[in-house]
Amino acid sequence: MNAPFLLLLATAFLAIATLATRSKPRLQTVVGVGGCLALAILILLVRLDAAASLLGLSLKLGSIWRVLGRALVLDQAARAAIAFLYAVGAFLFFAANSAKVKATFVPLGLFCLACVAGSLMIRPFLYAAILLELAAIGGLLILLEPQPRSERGGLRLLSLYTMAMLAILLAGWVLDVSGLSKVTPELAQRATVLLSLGFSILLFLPPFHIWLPSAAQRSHPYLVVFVAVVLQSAGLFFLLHFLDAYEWLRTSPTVFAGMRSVGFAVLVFGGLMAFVQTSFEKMMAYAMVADMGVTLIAVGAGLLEGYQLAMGLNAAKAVGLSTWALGASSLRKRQASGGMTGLDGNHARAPLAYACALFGAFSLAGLPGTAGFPLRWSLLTILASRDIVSAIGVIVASSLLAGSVLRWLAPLVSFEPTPWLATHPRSERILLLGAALMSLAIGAFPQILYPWLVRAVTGLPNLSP
Amino acid sequence: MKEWLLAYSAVPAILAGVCAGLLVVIDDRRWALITLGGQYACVAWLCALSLTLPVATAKLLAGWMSTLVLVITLRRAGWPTARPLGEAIPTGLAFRMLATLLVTTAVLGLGQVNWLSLPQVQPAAVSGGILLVGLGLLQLGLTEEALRVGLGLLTMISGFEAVYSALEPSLAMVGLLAAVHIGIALAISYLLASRVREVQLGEDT
Repeated sequence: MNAPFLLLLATAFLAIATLATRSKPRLQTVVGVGGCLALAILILLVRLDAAASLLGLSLKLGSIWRVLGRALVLDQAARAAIAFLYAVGAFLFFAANSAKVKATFVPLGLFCLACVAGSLMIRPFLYAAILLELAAIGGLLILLEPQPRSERGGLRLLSLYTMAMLAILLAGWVLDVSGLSKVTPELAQRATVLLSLGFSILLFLPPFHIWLPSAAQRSHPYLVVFVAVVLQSAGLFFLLHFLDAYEWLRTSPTVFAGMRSVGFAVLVFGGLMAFVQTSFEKMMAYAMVADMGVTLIAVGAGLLEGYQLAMGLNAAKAVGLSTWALGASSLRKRQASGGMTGLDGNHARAPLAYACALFGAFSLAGLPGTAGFPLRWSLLTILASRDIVSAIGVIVASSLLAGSVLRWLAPLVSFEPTPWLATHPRSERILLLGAALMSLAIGAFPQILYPWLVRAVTGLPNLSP
Repeated sequence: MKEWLLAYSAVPAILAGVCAGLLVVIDDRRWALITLGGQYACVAWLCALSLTLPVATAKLLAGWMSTLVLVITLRRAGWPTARPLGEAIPTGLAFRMLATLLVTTAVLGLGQVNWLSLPQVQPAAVSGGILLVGLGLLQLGLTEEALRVGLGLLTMISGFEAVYSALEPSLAMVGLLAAVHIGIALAISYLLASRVREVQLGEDT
């Protein structure tokens, strides 16, 4: 018996079970959330490659599954990353019923999680590019909604991921041909160009972010957040694997300086674009782009602390976006047109949802008191002595993002009195309050979430010597 | 057999380019899918230059399965015509023909230089592959209509495979890329079917 096979089998079983129970949303939620949580906990706690006794039987669970001459390995780095993704899945599936998303979201989401888990385990890890392409196919189906042209974002996502897959596979071949240790400058340059293209797409860096605002505008916010968080996290883990595997890449000052410069440009671009948006969803899409700029600057620091911060920032983004998505979904239900280009009047119709959406957005901007703040602060302390320009960029972009979110508080200070009509059902109230409190708790006590995420980096031996 | 395939290796390269060009130009969905089937046969021939025949046949079968998935979906829907999307780029027949010719010329010119120093790949596979990638990209750039995007993606991946199968001939890679072809075909079919269902529901109400 081996863990990778069992993990994929269990996920497939969960996907089938949730598909079979799609007409019973509560049961589907119980199966999906329970299964994902159980898998996340098992992945973290189970002892691999060591004999264990169960009901008097001696069992040994292997960490390697060999299939068609290739191996899937559940090592330390993959365990923490996969557990994180399954935990995010469980969290988002939990409120899916309340957010009124389509019934196929949970099974399709589990398909995406299985593909991403496979991409984190497969060796040689270049094959991960193909599994990420399969995850993007799942993403396209998740983003598809009844309203016209909702497929536009998903189709763009799939087209971009196909290009990323081709670029990364070709870069992998260039590196394999030259061998891991003796890469000539010419080959390194070609491989770097191909890898830059591939990772720019996987991390949604401009101009390859074009699917995101389009999807944010036309698809359910909850679905967009799920696809964006899962795929972008997978892209980040993949990047860290690459840095860990290739010495010429992780020892090149040019690569890290390039990452910081790109991160800075992305941050400023995302912040400015978010500031000029007139749609709340599109503003969040650009806030997501800006957040990846911060993460890229953290990775570009070229330090163990930077890699750990990048993992933490990823988790903080998941918390902030989930909180926002929950609030935005609740607001969306109250819009007769089905769209949500503004929040006017919603502060009165659904105050808790309005607060939750804003709180999630503030967290993504990194405002004090929210989940996004402690890590940005830690990053600034690192950058202050090493790269003051990037540090200023982080502060300016965070201010721009905070300013963008503050604009949506305008209805609260409107001179026209609006009667307050809190119309949240009880279960929804609990969920909204829970999400906002969770974001606040992680902001105040970051140590409850981040230590186990850091384990993902300690599993990469060359990045954390 | 292998010698014969090698001797006439220019044929599939040219035919693959013609098929990819036709996919950009043709409006009729029936003919587009027949052309896609033909394109897969050419790609399998190009792959057979570096892979064993059974593996190349498996690639062909995976490609035809993808085509069949699309055929079944559109046949069940009664071969609906694509709805105009109000695209920003002009997509008339003359424009597409001109664009196809331009891209073909540019790609063939670029293909003369061995950018990535690919030593073990047959020149016919490189030319055919690069043509397919270029014309697939053109297809993607011209439209956002679901079937055409799907055809563009399948063309682009096929072109890549024609070259990559010589570089990485492992069974795992062949299997995973076949899964990608079928996955894209299934996703596009689902998308087309759901849109047709919505149109029918809209007409009923």
